[in-house]
Amino acid sequence: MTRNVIYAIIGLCIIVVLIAGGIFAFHIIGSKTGIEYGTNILIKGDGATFPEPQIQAWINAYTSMKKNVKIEYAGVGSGQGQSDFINGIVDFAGSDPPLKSDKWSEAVKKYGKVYQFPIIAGAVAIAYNIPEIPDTYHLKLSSSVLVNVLLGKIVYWDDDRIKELNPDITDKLPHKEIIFVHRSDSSGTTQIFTTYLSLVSTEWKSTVGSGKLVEWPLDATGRGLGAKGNPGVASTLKSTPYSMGYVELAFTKGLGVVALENREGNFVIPTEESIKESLKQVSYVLPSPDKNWDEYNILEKILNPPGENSYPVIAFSHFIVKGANNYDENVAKALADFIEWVLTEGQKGEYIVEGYVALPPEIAQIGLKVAEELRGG
Amino acid sequence: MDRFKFLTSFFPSILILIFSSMFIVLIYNSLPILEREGIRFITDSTWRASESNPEEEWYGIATALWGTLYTAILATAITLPLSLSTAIFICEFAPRKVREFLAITLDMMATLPTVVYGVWGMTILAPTVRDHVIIPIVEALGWTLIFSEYSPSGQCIFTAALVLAIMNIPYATAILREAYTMIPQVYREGIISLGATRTEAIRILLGMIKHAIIAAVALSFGKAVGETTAVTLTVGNSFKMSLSPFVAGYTVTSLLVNQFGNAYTYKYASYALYGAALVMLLINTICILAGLTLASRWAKTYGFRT
Amino acid sequence: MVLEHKKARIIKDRVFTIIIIGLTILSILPLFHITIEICIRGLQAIMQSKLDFFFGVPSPPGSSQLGGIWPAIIGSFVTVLLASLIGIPISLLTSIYIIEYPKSVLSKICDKLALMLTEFPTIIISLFIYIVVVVPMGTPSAFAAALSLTIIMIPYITIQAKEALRSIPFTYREAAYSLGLPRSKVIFTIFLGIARRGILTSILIGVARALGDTASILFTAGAATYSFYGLFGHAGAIPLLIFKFIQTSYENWIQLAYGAAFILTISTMMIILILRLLIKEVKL
Repeated sequence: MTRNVIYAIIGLCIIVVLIAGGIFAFHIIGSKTGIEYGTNILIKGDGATFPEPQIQAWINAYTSMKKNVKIEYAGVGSGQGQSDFINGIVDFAGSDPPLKSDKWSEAVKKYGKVYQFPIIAGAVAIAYNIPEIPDTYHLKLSSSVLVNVLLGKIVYWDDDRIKELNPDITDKLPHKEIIFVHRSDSSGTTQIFTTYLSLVSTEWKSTVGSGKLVEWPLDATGRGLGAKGNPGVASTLKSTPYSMGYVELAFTKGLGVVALENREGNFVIPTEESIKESLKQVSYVLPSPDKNWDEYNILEKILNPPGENSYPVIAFSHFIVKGANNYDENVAKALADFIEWVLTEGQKGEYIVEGYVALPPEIAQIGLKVAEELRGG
Repeated sequence: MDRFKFLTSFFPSILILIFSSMFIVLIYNSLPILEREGIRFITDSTWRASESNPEEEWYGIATALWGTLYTAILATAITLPLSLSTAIFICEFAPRKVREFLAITLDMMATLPTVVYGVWGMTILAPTVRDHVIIPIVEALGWTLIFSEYSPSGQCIFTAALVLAIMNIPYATAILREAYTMIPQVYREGIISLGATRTEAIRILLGMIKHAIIAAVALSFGKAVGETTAVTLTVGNSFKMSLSPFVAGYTVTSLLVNQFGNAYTYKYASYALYGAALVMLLINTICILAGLTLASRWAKTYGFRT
Repeated sequence: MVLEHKKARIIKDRVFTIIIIGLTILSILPLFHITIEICIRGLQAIMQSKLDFFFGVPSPPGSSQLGGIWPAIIGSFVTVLLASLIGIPISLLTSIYIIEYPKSVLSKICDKLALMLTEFPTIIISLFIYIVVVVPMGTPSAFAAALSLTIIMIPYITIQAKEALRSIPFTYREAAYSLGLPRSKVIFTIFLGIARRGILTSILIGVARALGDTASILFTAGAATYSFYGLFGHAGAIPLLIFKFIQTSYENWIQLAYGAAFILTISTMMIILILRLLIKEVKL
């Protein structure tokens, strides 16, 4: 008797599961979140985690307006983004630094034309987790002290050199070792940060250098931790007292942010104003999107700019797309529409996520030209 | 050979095909890095990727191997007493209802997805271990070499080993239980009739299933070497080789998870990762094979089928 | 003198017993803790989104809303279903072969192999399918993920089905063969019917394993956060979502991960309970 009951229950469960599956399948065929083959278009991208919250917010806003377009973006690091782009796995890549010369040539050989253009501006913040320091205070660090910490020469938070810069809280600085959290994956954010360090310190340049993946001296001392992606670094910082690390400004919620010394000698925290100030100060000519941006050393030109209130470590994040004839006609058009929206509507205040700064109009123009190319072909 | 046998023999062959293909694919994709670096691939601990100059790349997996072996050894050391006790409890002490309850619990432990173990390990266990185990020990014994450093997030070799140990308990218990119940009653009766207490009887009977204990150890070790998700979330993912179990490290499996994505950006990185996977697979296979052979050979001693 | 010695032995006996019981409780304690914690946090997350949790998509990272995880649910469903469709026939026929022709070399090898494959590092399967399926196809896909899961499922189903078939009493086998039917008919109509409970158990174990496995689909499923893209497009999966989201620092995505973990845990436990009702002894 009981056995039959059990069989009945099992049978019922299976039927329920199959019905649920049927409902989901029905959802696929054209309801609010579904995708209809033929009329729906999917654009795939991946890459940097630096702009990820902003990109996902854009995707969310854009796809809820345009129901037949689906856009997927995965934050896997600029390095993988660029590599996936070259290997043809994604339609566009999000990358903090532009493609390096050899990778750029490889891509051009494969796709004929390759376009790179900025989509958003942001800053690399130095975040820290020191429970003793009040939330209202921003730890001041000079570029030389920062480099010395990262080279392992300054070991404790209450080192005299740090105390010197922060007279107001000397008694609060604890005698604890500084733990440094860095990226474990191939990261554009790392490239931006290490390029900055190389600019301000010849010692750093010669011993460690810059790149998407570097050998951090602190790893060997045991005071270095690796985490995946900007989110990983932020989450590690939050759960590790007395740690510090570098993340995009958007990821610093709940953490302290360093006031970094800029070129003029002022200690500036990354805010919308200080980033905008830096953007204004940088005088350069960004090249046309289909050129090899690596040759122009963009990163070195925008880091550590002059200006009283400029924040030194600012950066653009870019999209990298292929020449129009590499895409299906519908995809090219959809991509062009998306890019255009991102660079016009998307730069408006309501769509900008906290921690990012809209591009000045003359810079947004660069990408708009690409959208035209994708349409016109 | 009848037609049925011929037709159905296709399917077991698939199994063999898959298994051997995996090995072959791994070996084929590791050859470049092994040619380039030779034995130093295993003994070196530098992991240097270079975007601009492929000649500068050098990949040594010593750090990851150390982490894998260290976590596996620790995990097995923790699993053994726990699973032994559970097995003894189930066989000797537990009334029938309790036995069924324990059986279901162990089944659930075995089937619980590893990612859930990992999430628990990362968000709940790691901070608890840090606050209640690591910090007291480091404060008391910080002067010794082994306990001098620790991972501030609680994610370290020890935490990973702890999670692995918990995950392996059901399997080890099952092996030990099976072996224990297979001991012929004659022995038990004989020992009791000599006047031994229960404890003494258990100890003697345990001595009889030594092979099974070794098999359980080998199997736990092998599984611990191969586990990925739970370890990646709890081991700390840092290129650090240290005697201290409280320091964040890398295992081969978590190295694969973290570095595979960007491996194709660099020239030799993907080969290095396949090489690391191959080494880990070899360790895992040898241990599992040893464990299974021991277990079956023991069963034959007592005349029971495998 | 003898009495004291006897007392010592009895005390040792008691102490030992207490240690055994203590360690046993210690062994199963984590499971309860895990279950309770995941249930609490998961339910909190699901309560925030209510029905939208099962039918919506994840909200942008950092936003105050949670959204839902239906792309992951449908992804898991499709990949596991496909894996079952491919894996069950292969496993069953393999186990039949092993039982029917135990003396052959193929059987002996496969028997050992199946046991070994259950303890196999699943990430290697992911690497393998990546090279063999994903790279030629140019994209990770639900199909590739299903293939990975098939490799995971086959050993489990094979071993359990083998046990089920083996437990058919010899008298039944003799009687079945003596009816004069060809071997295939005997096996498929009679034996599978007698062992149906065990076979169902084996399928359930395989499905439970496939549902929860992360490492094997890490490189083969791709990234599908917002929708389901068909058999040859990227697919989401519940364990993948948990793995990715829990490592981020976005509060709402972490909550989604807990909710998904809760669903996964409950499904797995239900399968085990059903299993236990079907059969007494389960080989995991």
